[in-house]
Amino acid sequence: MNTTFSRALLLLLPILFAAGCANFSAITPGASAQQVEKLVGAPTSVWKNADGSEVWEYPQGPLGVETHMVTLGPDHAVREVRQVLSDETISKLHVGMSRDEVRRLLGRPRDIGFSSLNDEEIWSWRYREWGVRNMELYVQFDRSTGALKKVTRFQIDTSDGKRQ
Amino acid sequence: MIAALHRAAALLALAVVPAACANFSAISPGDSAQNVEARVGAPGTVWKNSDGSEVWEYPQGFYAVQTFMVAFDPDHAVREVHQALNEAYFSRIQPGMSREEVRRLIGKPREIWYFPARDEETWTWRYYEVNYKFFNVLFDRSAGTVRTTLRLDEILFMDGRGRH
Repeated sequence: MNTTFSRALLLLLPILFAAGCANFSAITPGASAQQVEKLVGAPTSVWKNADGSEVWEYPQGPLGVETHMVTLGPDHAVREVRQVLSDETISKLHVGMSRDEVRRLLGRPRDIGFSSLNDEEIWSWRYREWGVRNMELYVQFDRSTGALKKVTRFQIDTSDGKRQ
Repeated sequence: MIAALHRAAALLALAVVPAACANFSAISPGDSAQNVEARVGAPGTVWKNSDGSEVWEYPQGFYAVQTFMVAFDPDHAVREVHQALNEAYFSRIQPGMSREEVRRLIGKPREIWYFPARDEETWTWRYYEVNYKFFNVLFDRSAGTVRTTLRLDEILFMDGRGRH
């Protein structure tokens, strides 16, 4: 009984591991679209640019704190792979941006919410800063104009509640 | 001209100071309801208990980090006064509690956000503990009960974006 269970678990582990850690670092510039699909599966969204290039979006990877963007040239070869939930990308956000612009920068939000106080739409992401700090990002849009109003970042504090 | 300006400033100072520093520390046990109203004005909300006692709730505004609770005995005399936005009260909030239980513990939130996809309602309070922080209570929206709580440290961008 126990051994059956352990064996099942052992068999299951590599599958869980593979699912949790799609291997974006194995994608190298020049790789084909087919190779990308084989390594990390089909994208959630595909953004087509005017020049024939494409961006493949893979939101909320391992633990929901990473989103990868794979850019393919017009020749369908990989140009670059980027993990976009980072301070570098977030610092490009600015007041007045459209939902589409934000979506293309950061990918699909983890969640979309609404405020009780005003006509606002709130997009939220979780990400990790320096690989260690758990962060929460809120991007607030004016719903009537669709323009970005405010960006706020928080570090999730895990110490306080356990301190008393 | 200058005298008029001074007079205007003096009048303004009189108007601003009481609003900003309503003197809750001057309220002592045994004080009458009239005394309390004279010192700190009318409460934002009054909570009536079945035994005739009451709690008067005084949120201090959207940017404030304090909410005062004045508890009265059934004989309308002050029993105690406390500031509710701190860990002593946050830590009492447990999964399964109702909106009213939370509201009666720590008062009116500054803002409520709805996240339809997760059927979640997030109530937010601003407070001060070493830094300015936010305390969030996440409710199951349909059930009306607490799912979890979150303590957030705001991270400001270097150019001051994200400020309140």
